[in-house]
Amino acid sequence: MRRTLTLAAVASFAFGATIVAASPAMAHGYVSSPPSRQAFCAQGKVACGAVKYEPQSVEGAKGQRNCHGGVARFAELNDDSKAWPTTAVGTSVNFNWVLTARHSTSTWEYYIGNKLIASFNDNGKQPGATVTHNVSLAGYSGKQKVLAVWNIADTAAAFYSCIDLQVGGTGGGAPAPTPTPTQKPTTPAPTPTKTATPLPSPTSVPKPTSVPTTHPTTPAGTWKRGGKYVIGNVVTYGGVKYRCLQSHTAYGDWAPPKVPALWKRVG
Amino acid sequence: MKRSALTVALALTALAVSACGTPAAAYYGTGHGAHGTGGTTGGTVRVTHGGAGTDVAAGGFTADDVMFLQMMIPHDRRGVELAMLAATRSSREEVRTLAAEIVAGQSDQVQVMTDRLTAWKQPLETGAHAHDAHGGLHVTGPEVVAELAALNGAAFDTAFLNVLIGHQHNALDMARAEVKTGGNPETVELARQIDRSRSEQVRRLLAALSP
Repeated sequence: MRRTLTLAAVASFAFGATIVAASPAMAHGYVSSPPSRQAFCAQGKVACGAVKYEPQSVEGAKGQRNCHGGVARFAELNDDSKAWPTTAVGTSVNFNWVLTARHSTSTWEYYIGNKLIASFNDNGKQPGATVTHNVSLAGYSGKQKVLAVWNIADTAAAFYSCIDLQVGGTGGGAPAPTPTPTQKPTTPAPTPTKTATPLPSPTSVPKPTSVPTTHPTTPAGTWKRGGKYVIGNVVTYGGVKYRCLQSHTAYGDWAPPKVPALWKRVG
Repeated sequence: MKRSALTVALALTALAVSACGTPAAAYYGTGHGAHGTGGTTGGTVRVTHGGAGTDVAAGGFTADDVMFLQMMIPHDRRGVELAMLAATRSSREEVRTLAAEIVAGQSDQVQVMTDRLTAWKQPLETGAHAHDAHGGLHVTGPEVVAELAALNGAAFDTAFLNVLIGHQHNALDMARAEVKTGGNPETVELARQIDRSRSEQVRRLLAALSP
């Protein structure tokens, strides 16, 4: 019993130490378009300090209403006197996020001043690879600063992004309405695959019958666009044999000679 | 019996953690405990750990160098796979061109990294399931490629650019960790190149999102 406790203590110490030490490199996310302040920093469109190297790391305790999450080295993000570019939008805006770690999520919140203008509840789910929220700015016009907050479900932390907008500005600069699948408030998020009008989806592409996916070293016939290949498959393309280095589906026109990362010439 | 094996494993984990007190090693340590203590490099005799040894000056390498290459190769291959999607799905030449550059550039880089590990007689990959511990958080999985492949036009561009930006941010994290803690000069220089090229890509990808 005692030994078990000791082991547990050692283990938790080890993991705890790892997690604490790792946090600077474990990044996370930010609003990429319309460009947030840190997105402008990362693009080099505004001269910035440390945040230009890690726009995804603006992480601080939940409940803050600032642009830098209380992180001292990112304080310039909260400086409204800095020449942040504004993006012209209409009254309906799609906010897109870049995520580098898909933490399980409680809510996504959007504020203007101290007023919550939109909230999306993920109920602790892990977000998809891309996150887009459609937010109504009805009732607002002119220059506005939107604070976007990503509240993580299983930690005390949130990620902060401020986006400077010109609402209803000339040129009607709202992102063009596109079939981009967006998450509506209070509605379960549709995933891209469910709502988009796809090309023939990869699963519906008939698998070349000559591709044996279970015998990696067996020749797989002639390379075909849309074919599924696994490591070790050998295909012929242009009279030359290539061996598959990474399992993949051959989307697009990237034939083996063009993609040495995936195919190695063997014949 | 089982318990003693567990004890050893835990002790090794604890040692690995305390010996790798640098940010980079700790970064790998998160969800990568198996890399250090398992069978890839930590127990290999030819690897000198710590980076400051004389071996490194003579062309040697450290466990950090090996792990960086082992992680970067599949990461870049996935990047290539993602970028390949743009050729037929993006309606914007700017996006297709950027993607084609990534396919070409990262393919070359994968070759360089593969050759280096081979020359060092190190495994090209970590254990079969070594990356399971990621919990899918940092790795752009094959399901993401499939999701993107189902999109087209403007919807594709938005999703593709955001995924690729995140993917390249993670490459930057790995490269910067290697710059800090790597030992082999050529590999550290490669990491610097990756830092420069991916930073430039992130700039262009972000710009492409808001044309």
